[in-house]
Amino acid sequence: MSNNQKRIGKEFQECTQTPPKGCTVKLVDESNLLKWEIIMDGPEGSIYEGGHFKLLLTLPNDYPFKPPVLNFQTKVYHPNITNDEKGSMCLGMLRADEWKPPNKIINVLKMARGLLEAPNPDDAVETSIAEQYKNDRKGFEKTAKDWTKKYASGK
Amino acid sequence: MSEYDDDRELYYLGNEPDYAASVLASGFRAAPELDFAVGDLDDFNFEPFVTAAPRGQTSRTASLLQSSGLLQVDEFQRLVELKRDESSESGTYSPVGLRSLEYVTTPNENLICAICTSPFIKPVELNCQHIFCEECLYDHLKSGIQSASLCPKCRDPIESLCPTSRLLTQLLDELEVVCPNEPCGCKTLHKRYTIHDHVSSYCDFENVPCPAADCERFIPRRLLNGECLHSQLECDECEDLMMEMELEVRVLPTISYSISLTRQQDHIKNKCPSGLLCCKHCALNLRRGDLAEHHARDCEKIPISCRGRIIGCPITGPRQFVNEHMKTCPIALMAPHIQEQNERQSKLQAETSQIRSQLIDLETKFDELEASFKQLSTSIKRERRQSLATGGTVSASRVEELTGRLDELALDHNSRIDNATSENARMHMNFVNESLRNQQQFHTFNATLTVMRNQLNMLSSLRATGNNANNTTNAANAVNAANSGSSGIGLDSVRREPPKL
Ligand SMILES: [Zn+2]
Ligand SMILES: [Zn+2]
Ligand SMILES: [Zn+2]
Ligand SMILES: [Zn+2]
Ligand SMILES: [Zn+2]
Ligand SMILES: [Zn+2]
Ligand SMILES: [Zn+2]
Repeated sequence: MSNNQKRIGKEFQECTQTPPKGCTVKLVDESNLLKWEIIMDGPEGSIYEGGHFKLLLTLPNDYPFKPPVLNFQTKVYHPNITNDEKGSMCLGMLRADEWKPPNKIINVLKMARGLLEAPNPDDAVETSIAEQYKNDRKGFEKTAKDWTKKYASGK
Repeated sequence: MSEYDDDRELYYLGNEPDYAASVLASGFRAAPELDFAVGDLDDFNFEPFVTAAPRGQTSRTASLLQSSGLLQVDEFQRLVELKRDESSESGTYSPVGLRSLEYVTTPNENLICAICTSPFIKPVELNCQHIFCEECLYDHLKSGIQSASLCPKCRDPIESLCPTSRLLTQLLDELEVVCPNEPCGCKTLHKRYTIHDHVSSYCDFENVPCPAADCERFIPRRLLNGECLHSQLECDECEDLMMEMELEVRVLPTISYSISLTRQQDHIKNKCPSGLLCCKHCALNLRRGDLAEHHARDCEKIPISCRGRIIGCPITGPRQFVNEHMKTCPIALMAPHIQEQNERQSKLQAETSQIRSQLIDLETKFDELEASFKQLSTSIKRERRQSLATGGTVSASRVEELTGRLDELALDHNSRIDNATSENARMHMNFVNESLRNQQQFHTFNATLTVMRNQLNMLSSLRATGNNANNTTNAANAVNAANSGSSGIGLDSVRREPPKL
């Protein structure tokens, strides 16, 4: 099923020509439309400000029936992003049971950046970070800022 | 994601007869941006369209369901599969993939399928009133995902499907598309429902099978004249080969398309060495093959710089002008000499370094020589003492004198080498001479050494045969004879007077 090539091509064009705020998008490999590399700048005023986060967006072969997968390749201290080498972001709309084919990647990216701006501790994948976020906001912010400086400040 | 109220839109679609006109007026010409790439044509096999679908009649771009009325999900799937089988069995030649079409203007978003994000192709409507392409919906139902039985948009269970409003299919039919052969040169625009006919029957840029029975190749329709045009021809001017079909001008001299250059034209214009072109400096017409020489020698207008540039004349300009300038430019007049001198100097430098390495070589040899010389003189001294002890006084004093001379000789030689080295640093040519002289000296020295060795041998034999003074004198004479033969330094004194008994 390669009916999706045209749609993916159009979406890619949309994301490169009018990229969502703070995002630059390119293909990991020019010959493969299914793997996108995204550089996402930490939103101004957030604890991730100044960071440049590298994300990998992988589209399944049966996109858009199945959702894309979003991985942070830069380490992030965030309740909704797994603290492992995968850096999977748990975004509501990306869950298999919530995904709808009409959803578009540009909106996925906007939502992902929105989650950097405002973490959602009630839907966390890293429960200890979520706990800290709720009970010790100062400590959370310090670690998050430290990590941003340490892992995401390089260009 | 722009959410809009489909129900309301659909209500109008079904009830507002002037909607088509209003949509055309409002949205279609809004953004004339072409964001569709023309892909390969074989993605899809759709049924050929009827040649014309006048307003009010059912177009074949509409779904198969158009004729079927309300369908259950499984009936729908069976129908789509049946249709796919038919088209793959009959192998119908279907040149147009509707999905890869490029639209002239951005279509109104109500005509866009949420799954493929392109204008609907054979739309079907679900019981929830959401509309998708027939193929897209089929893929969704077959996707194997959990929600495959739910509407991709609103998640209502899919119960039945029905054909969409005729108005919708008409709006889709009216969409203007670019001919998929646009990259090959076809600049025509068509209503979507006629594009299949255009490509399959009329488009001059569509590749069709070569008419020759034994030829497997394809040829653009515009070149069809019943013959195979795939034989190779030679350029009249050079030896380059090209296919007959590439010589479009010859085949169809009346062709009126604004196509890009054919290969023949391209060859003559850009590659053929016999092709004429115009020197961009002097506008002279030349053969391409002669251009380089023209630029290097003849072109009067090509910019060059004054010959005096190497020593600072900044004048540049057309050759004619600079040539005139160089007749009077003192720097240009001086330049050849300076250049010559530069060349000579660098040649000399190379020679000097060669000679220097030779000198080092010689010096090492000389050191070795000196060492063996010292050895020799000690052994001669020892010999003398022994001969003194045995009473050969005259010969002993003679030997002493010779030894002294040898030492002198060594000193002298050293100082000459020093002189040669310091002179060399100042002047290359002198240096060459000096080192040649050194070489000569070395030979002399070598000769002397040989003589000394002979003498030593003789002295040894003398000692063996008793103290014969005459023999010693003869030996000394032999040394003198050897020295007089060479134009050595300081050795002349050796033969100043014959040794006396
Ligand atoms: Zn579709
Ligand atoms: Zn629905
Ligand atoms: Zn055409
Ligand atoms: Zn042929
Ligand atoms: Zn030629
Ligand atoms: Zn010229
Ligand atoms: Zn000059």
